[in-house]
Formats: sequence, structure tokens, C-alpha cells
Amino acid sequence: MAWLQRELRQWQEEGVVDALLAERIAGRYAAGRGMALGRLALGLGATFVGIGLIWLVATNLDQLSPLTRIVGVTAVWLSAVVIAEVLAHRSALATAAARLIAALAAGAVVFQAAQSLQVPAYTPSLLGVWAAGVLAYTYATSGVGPLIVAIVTGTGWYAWYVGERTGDPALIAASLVLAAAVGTAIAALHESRWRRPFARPWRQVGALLALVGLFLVALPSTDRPQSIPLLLWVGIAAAGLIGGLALALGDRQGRHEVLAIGAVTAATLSLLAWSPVDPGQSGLTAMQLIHAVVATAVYVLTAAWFAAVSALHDDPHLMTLSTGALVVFVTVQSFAIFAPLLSGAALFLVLGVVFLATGGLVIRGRRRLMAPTSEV
Amino acid sequence: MNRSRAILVAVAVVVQVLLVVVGVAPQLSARLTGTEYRFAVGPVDPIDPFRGAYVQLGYPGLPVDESGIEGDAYIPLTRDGATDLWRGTAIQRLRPDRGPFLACHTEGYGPPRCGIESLFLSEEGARQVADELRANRVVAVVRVDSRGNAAIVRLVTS
Repeated sequence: MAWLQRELRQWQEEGVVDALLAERIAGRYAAGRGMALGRLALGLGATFVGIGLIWLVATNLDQLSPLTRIVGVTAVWLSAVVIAEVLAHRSALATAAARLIAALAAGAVVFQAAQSLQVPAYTPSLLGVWAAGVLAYTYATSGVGPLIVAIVTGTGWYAWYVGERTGDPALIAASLVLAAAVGTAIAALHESRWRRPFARPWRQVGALLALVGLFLVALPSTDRPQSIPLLLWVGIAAAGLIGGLALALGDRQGRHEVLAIGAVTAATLSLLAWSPVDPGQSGLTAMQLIHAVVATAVYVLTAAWFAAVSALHDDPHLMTLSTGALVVFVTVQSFAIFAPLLSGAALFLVLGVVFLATGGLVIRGRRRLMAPTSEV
Repeated sequence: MNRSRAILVAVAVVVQVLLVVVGVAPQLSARLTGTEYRFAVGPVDPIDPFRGAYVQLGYPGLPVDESGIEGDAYIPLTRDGATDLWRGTAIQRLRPDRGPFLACHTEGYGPPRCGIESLFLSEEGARQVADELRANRVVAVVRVDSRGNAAIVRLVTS
């Protein structure tokens, strides 16, 4: 609101708006803030109810038989689905809250079914089943809340599944970047063709997965993978197929984003294939140093690209994600590089200077990126 | 609620129910079509973040893999006349022609995972069962279907 008041004062001074119009604009935003609070309360309430339901399943109430528990949880889930549809033409906020409860309650149904039938603990496919089901519900209802649940659970399942199956950091990194390419391509398709509100969550998860994957690639301990498993070929095929669709059907900006994530994927796979083998001697070899420098450059360029994309789409969450990722990356890399060379006070002094420089660049970069959009 | 939206939501609900069934299919099949077998069990431990307290079970009567080769594994079962409990004779890579046998997955080392390694209970129940397991007073009742899918049904005091 402080930003708006400042702008309104400036517009009045420039004669763009008069005092009455400025007051009406400010009043509209005050009402909007009230709605935002209502939305926040409903969103939090729905999230708490959904998580509470899953928690209730986890407490394993042995006073009730397994059959009674599964029937009860299913009844809550179906009630939320029906209530959401009944409310669909009356209140958008209440509908969104009911859909969010339905998406989380679907998870409670999955876990209760597994509980009742004694499916072994730590089975990742249960999370995958929940994510796939909620994704179907998301596209049937156009609910953004369920989409976020589907993306979070789907990403969790994917990372868990890949980690469990391969156990190889290099393959995990490659899988994450391929999943990022799929997410970005889906975002580009949504942005230009169908259900624009879905573009933002898909774009954010694409950026998150790409930055996490590249982070792993840039770690010096990552070895070259011995062979490429089927799981990775499936990822390459999916990324190629959906990326091709997005290039053919997306708008100009979407195509740029797909081409950029394609370049990031190619760079990741090349860095993994080129990973110099550690000869076992102390310190880094020249080849390992070049690899680390190239990986760092790719990471920084990718984070900067996502920051630029966030400015183009006016997405503050994506901006926070990309700048935050950059700060974490610089922190970890600084410790990795300077800790073996310096100790005590010198280490803190050098790291302090590196962090100050990073912080200054991030703030300056954010200002410069956000300036053109705020002037439009 | 318009008609096409209602149909879409109904289809999504059916898809979700089918996915749940697929997710628990081995245990569901074992419970609906399987036969009961009794195994000796021992405690191992813990907690699943989504599903709460459980007892991690070890089966002294089933073989441990030392091959170093990951993949599907099958354990033929034979009845031990002295204890009247069932034991696994060996781990084999090809599905046996006839049962009873357990269909498992092995990491190449340690006990293969056959879907009967955990029993979910309330926290208090899990504590009690863990005590009884430590005293070696418990056997596991497991249902196994013709394809080797297994589901633990209950623990009983021996």
C-alpha cells in the first residue's frame, strides 16, 4: 500500500489523476486487501483441515476398525468434492477452499487404504498415486490449489523414486533437470493456449527443479554415471515430446523459455558426461577446476535467466526463488573453494566480502529487472 | 453445477479411486484371494511421516540375499514340521511354477522386500507388539496369493 500511495501522489502531481480518483483507487485496493486476507484465511484453513486429516490417518485410531476408518476418510473426501462443485457458481473463494481440502483428503484416502491393507512403510508409489489422482482432479476442475498439491506431491514422489532407484547423484541431477524441462514446457503451453493460471505453478516448479539439479551437477563430488537407465531415457523422451509441442504451439516468449531450458538440459547432460574422474590425489586437477568453473557459470546464467523470466511474467515468487538459489549456491561454493585455503578470521573476512558482493549484485539486478515492468 | 463439469469431476473421482486400488493392489489381491501362512517374526522398529507408528518386522525363517544383484526375487515356502511355521528355502530369480512362494524385490544384499516388513498400529499398540516380539512370543499370519503377492494380516501369540 505504501508503494501505491507514493505512486498516487506522483500521479496527482503530474496531473494524471485528480484527488477524487486517487481516493477511489486507494479505496479499491483497501477492499482488495480485505479480500486477500479472506483468501489467506480460507487457504490456511483448508490446508490445516487437509493436513489434520492426513495426521488423523497417521495416528492410527485403533478404537475404529480399518474398514470404518477408510469409509470415514472417503466420505470426507467425496463430501469436499461435492461441496466444491455445489459452491462453484456461488463463491469462488469457498470453492477454492473446498477443492484444496478435496485434494489433500485424497491423500488421506490413499494413506488410509495403505494403512488398512498394511502396505509396507516408505512406499514412494503411494505419493505418486496421490499426485496422479489429484492431477486428474485438477484438470477436471481447473483448481489452482489442487494443482499446487499435485505438483508438490508429484515432485516429492519423483525425487524419492529417482533417488531410491538410482542412488547416483549424477543421475538424480539429470532426472531433475529433465523434469524441469517438462514443467517449463507445460507452463509455456498453458501460457499461450489453455488455462493461463496453471502456467505460473508449472513455471516455478520447472525453475526449482532445474536449479536443484544444476546445484548437484556443480558439486565437485559428482561422478560420471556408469550407464543411462531406462528411467532417464523416459525423461529425455518426455522432455523432447512436450518441449516440441510447446515450440510448435507456444507463443514467442514461451518458445524462448523452452529453448532456454533445452539449453540448460543439454549443458547439464554434457557436464555430467564430461565429469572428470578423480585420480585420488589431494586437491583439484586442472580439468576438475575447469569443470567447476563451467558448471558455476551455467548455474549463475540459469539463475539470472529465471530472474529475468520472473520479471517478464511479474512473478515475485519466481524472483525470490532464483535470487535465493543464487545466494545459497554462492554460499556453498564459497565454503567449498575458500575453506581449504583459508582458516579462522581470514576465511570469515573473505566470505563476508563475497556475500556482500553477491547481495549487492542481487539487489541491483532485482531493481534493474523489475524497473521496465513497473514503468509499463 | 453444469453437466459437463459434473461428468469431468466424476471421471476424475473414479480415476483417483482406481489409482488407490492400483497403489494397494498386491496387498488387496493377497487379502482377497490368498491363503494364510504363519511365519516366525522378530522386531526391527519406527515411524512413517504420512502413516504414523509401525513395527518393522524381520523374518528369521526367510533367507537373506548375498548375491549383490538387484532385482525381482522369489522365495519358495515349505512348512517346518517341528514348529508348524513356514520357512523360505532359497532365493531364486525365476518365478516358481507352483506355490506357495513369495514374490519379492531384492537390493542384492540383506533380506528381500516381500511387502510384509511393516505392521501399522497405534503408538501404544506398536510399543506392546515390539515388547512381545522381543520376547519371541509372536508369529505373523500372512496371506499369500497364487502370484506370490503377500499381505500381513495380524500377529498372534505363539
